[in-house]
Amino acid sequence: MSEDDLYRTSTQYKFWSFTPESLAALRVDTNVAAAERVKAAIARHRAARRAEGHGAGSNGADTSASASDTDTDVDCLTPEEELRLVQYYSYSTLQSSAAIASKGFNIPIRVQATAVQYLKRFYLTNSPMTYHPKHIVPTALYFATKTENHSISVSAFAELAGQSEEKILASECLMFQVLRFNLDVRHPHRGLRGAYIELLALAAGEGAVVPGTGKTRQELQEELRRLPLKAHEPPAEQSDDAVQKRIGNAYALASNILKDSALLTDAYFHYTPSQVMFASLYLADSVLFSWYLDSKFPSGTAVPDPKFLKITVTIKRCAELLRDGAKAADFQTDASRQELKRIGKKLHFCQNPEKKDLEGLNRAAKRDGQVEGALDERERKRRKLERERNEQEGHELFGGTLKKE
Amino acid sequence: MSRLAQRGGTAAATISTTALPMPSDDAICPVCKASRYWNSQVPMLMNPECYHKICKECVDRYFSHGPAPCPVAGCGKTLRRNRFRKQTFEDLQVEREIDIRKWLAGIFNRREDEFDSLKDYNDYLNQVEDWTYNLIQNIDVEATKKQINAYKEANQKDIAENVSLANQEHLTYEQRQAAEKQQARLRREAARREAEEERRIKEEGRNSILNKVASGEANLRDTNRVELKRASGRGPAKPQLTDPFLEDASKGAASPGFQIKGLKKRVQVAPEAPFDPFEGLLYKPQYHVVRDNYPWDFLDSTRKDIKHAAGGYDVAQYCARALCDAFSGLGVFIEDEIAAREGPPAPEVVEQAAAEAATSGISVDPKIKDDVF
Repeated sequence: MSEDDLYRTSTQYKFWSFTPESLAALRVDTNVAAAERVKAAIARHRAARRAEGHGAGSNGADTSASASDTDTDVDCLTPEEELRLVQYYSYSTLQSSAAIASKGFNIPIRVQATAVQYLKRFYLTNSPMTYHPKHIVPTALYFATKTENHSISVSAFAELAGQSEEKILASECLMFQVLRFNLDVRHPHRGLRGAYIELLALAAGEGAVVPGTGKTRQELQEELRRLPLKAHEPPAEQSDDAVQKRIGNAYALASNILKDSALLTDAYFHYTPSQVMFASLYLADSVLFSWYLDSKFPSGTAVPDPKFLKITVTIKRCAELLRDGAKAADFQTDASRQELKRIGKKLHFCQNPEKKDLEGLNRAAKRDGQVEGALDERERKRRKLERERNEQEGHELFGGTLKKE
Repeated sequence: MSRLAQRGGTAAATISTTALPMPSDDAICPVCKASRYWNSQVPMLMNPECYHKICKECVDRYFSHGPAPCPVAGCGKTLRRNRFRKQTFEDLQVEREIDIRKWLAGIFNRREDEFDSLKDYNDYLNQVEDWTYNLIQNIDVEATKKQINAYKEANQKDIAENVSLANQEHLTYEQRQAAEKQQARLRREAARREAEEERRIKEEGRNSILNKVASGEANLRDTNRVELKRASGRGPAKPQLTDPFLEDASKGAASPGFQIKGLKKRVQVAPEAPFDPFEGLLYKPQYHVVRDNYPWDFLDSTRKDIKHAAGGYDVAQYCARALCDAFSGLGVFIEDEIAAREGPPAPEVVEQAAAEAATSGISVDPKIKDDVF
């Protein structure tokens, strides 16, 4: 079992990897389905309000307002607008974790990255029109602190995030379900450190050589010393310190890319963490990257390994995605601010009114729906019976309670 | 029928093959002609050699000086006094059959669970029953006895084992409890004795050291060591455990002439293999080789940090994991593999979905249909 097979066992590979086409198709499907639901829900909402208005004695202003409501057609978000919105809220997840860190609770990058990935996965099958991302972001972040073993009590987190506890917990169950209980997210961050320590070892002439590559560690060290600084430049003889510094710089740059544009693009859906990591290394120092990858494959052959070529192509494509993503993820420019404002306004009018109050829905979904009117009598009775039956079955499973003699 | 043959019979085969005396002369002793009719106090005894009945007084008189021939006219078998007993059943035929069956049951005491299948067990029982019938009906007695004795000799060990097994089973619960208690008591006593002995040895050792030191014979450290060594060498010898299976494996249940089919082989239970949580799955890195040490200050400082070491944090494992992460999935091309996995949807499915969507008016997406709210 090689490293690749190991990755193939992950849920990220099995359920959360897509080709660009299938991802786009999925997003369009989600958008279409959500738009239809939103339209139906808004129509119901309006009908209810109209009926209410009539029952209250129908004053003139109200009827005119409801009439105008009925007339306007609902203008739903397009898949592109949704994507932009999710991207913005991914960015805002990073921002808010930075804000929380400034208040004293440091959130490591793996937690942030997991939260962002939860958010993205959530909005693959759900639309921002159904559940507003501003409700989902704190939940995703809180949920990630738990799954990444960096936990904090919900009350403390709520205080840091400036939200109510109930609000954070309201959509937790929903998120758990939408994620299909796949809580493991593979990140490239630790992998980058692995590459870094191995490069350091190679530079010091202590690296372990992959069998079959046909090079000794001394040769590798020598090659690393004489690596050109930029592509298409003559080789430059460097001191060990300079090589070490170069590796350090590449690591720092790549690490920044992984913390930023790798999270805001769809790189996680299209590439494996290892490829994303190498892509960031390619962006940071392309010469070093090429040499490093090359050192993993047999040298001295006339024709390069086809797998090697394919990996290189894949990584370069991933690198392009990361580079473009960095540009697109800039939310500081005026143009993007304007755009987001417009989308936000549009979302305000096409928000599903039935899913707005997540806390209320959550309360209703719990035990018999103790909120008045949230659950009708029959449903409540049915749930009660079901619970009693489950209890009974549970007892039977373990032989029931002991009777006193 | 074969009275002559009986004389040459082995000691084990004490079952008579004589024609049994008629039940009519039951009431009268053939020796003293004392009739039960006249003296009902006199008990009649018989000997399983020939099943002739003689009154108790005559038995005492005739056989008090050792074995003697049967006093019944025309019998002449050598009888012993200690073999005489009271008749259990009125019918001597039954009495004799029971005796034969008892004797055979002691030899053929195999259990059902020793056989591979029920059929094998039944075949075995059938064979035993054939022999029993032969003995009872006096058919081929010599040959049958030979076979039985051959079986007995070949399977002595198994027979003895089964006998002891049966005995154990017959022990009632209370008896077993009592035996266990007795065992526990013995163990306790042995432990107590041992402790006492140890204490005594220690005491002696200490005394001798003190004496030696007092008399200035040796310095304290050396004597101490010697005494300790002496004490440690005096532990009770541990009984050597022998494996009963090993001895058994060398001897098969095979016997010349007759062989029981379908007997389970008593196999030695193999020692349990160590638990392998990965069930033979072996991780073999393809793109890297993990080293013990990596030249990074951060790792060194972590390795030295007592906070990490106390929790069992292993830097080497971190390095291995980081390197695995670096290359895990390097050669996985999602675009190809996912496309191949999903494949183009079958046309029927698409049509069906489209038809459903048209009738319901809502597009079907199983992923969104199931909502907690």
